[in-house]
Amino acid sequence: MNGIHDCGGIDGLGHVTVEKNERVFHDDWERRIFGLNWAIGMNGWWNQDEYRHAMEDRPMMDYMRDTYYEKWLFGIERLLVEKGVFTREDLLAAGALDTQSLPAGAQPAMSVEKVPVIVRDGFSYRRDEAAAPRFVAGDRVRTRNINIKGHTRLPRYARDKIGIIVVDRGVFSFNDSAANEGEERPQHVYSVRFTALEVWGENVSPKDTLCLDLWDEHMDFAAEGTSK
Amino acid sequence: MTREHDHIHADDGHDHHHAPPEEVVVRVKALENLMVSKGLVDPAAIDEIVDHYENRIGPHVGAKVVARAWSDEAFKQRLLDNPNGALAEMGVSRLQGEDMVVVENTDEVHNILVCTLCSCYPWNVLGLPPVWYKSTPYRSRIVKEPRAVLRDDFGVAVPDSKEVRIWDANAELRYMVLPQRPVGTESLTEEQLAELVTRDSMLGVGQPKTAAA
Repeated sequence: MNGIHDCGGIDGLGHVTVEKNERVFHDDWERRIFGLNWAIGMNGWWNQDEYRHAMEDRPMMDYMRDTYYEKWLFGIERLLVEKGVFTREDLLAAGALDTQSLPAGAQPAMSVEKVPVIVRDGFSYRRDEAAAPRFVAGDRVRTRNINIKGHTRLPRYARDKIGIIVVDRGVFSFNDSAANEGEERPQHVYSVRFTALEVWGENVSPKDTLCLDLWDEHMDFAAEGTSK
Repeated sequence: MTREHDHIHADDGHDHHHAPPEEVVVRVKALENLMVSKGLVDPAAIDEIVDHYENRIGPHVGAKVVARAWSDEAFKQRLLDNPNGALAEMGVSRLQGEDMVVVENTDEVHNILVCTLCSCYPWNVLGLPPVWYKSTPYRSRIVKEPRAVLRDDFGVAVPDSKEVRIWDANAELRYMVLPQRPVGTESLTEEQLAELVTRDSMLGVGQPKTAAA
């Protein structure tokens, strides 16, 4: 979707404010939602890009108002309700509960023992499937003009632009279809280089470039013609 | 000039952050209470993962990797050719850095990292991202006017003769910049070199400290 989350190239959002000696977490609620994100996510009720889309697909002003971890909270609450794990009323009522402890015999998806394993191994989206690459390094490609209402990892600023395949990164799950159709559709991901002139037009350094990681379904061979 | 809101607090030297909205605190507490009461979340597991990223994993991990690359040419080549393998040699974790790419700054190219769509960041080598990296001012501007952002907001000048190369981490690869080794550091040990490597230098918005600093 063409939401405000896809903000690359938008003007008017102000200067970058660098906080001195920034702490990892600013408040305890940030610690809790950071951990809850993993502890709840490990139940497998949704995939990563459904979660990203749940955070993006909302009124622009709400996205802009919320801080990073407030967006996580919003996305998790929303998906728990949409997936039928809990109702909105369950969540509201839980605000009145005293601090809870784990019921005897409970086996949460993320145990204390599992945490170091999760941190050590992570969750790679690389897939073993033998998908044939559509492109090879050096190919000239034109990105598709994707304006779907669903989720895409092709940013607006890089659509319908001509770039060069720099390197094939191998086969990965496709985030767009995973979010929109619940299908991984593993395919090759490539780093693709665009000149700043191609992306932004004039008034940029002719030396400068941008590289994005794009899936087979984000691109086609560029017709003959000129790119900047 | 670096643009900072640096109203210094004598007590702890940290910037003061706005007080958390009460409503958000209540919602997070409610969410945890509900999940715990149903036996779906162990609060101790939350403490454990928070501890990893608050106290154990941070830019010092990446700094050690960079210092080794500066000290050991063969390691540097492995780091550039097969980053996952080289990072595994050093026992680096993989969460949010499962498939790594290391890009080298040279006399010709200055690399800068961003995730315009969300805030993807190499947690395994840098820990959790700072607020500015996650903010829309950085994500919107760095792709379009990187030289101005570096100059005005980070106090870094990139010569016109150099290519600025932006890496937008819009897929599941995670990036780290290998900054250039500062001049005059030939006699330093790997441990001393690691002290010069800043988080910002591994993102491309800063330079390593100089030997004298």
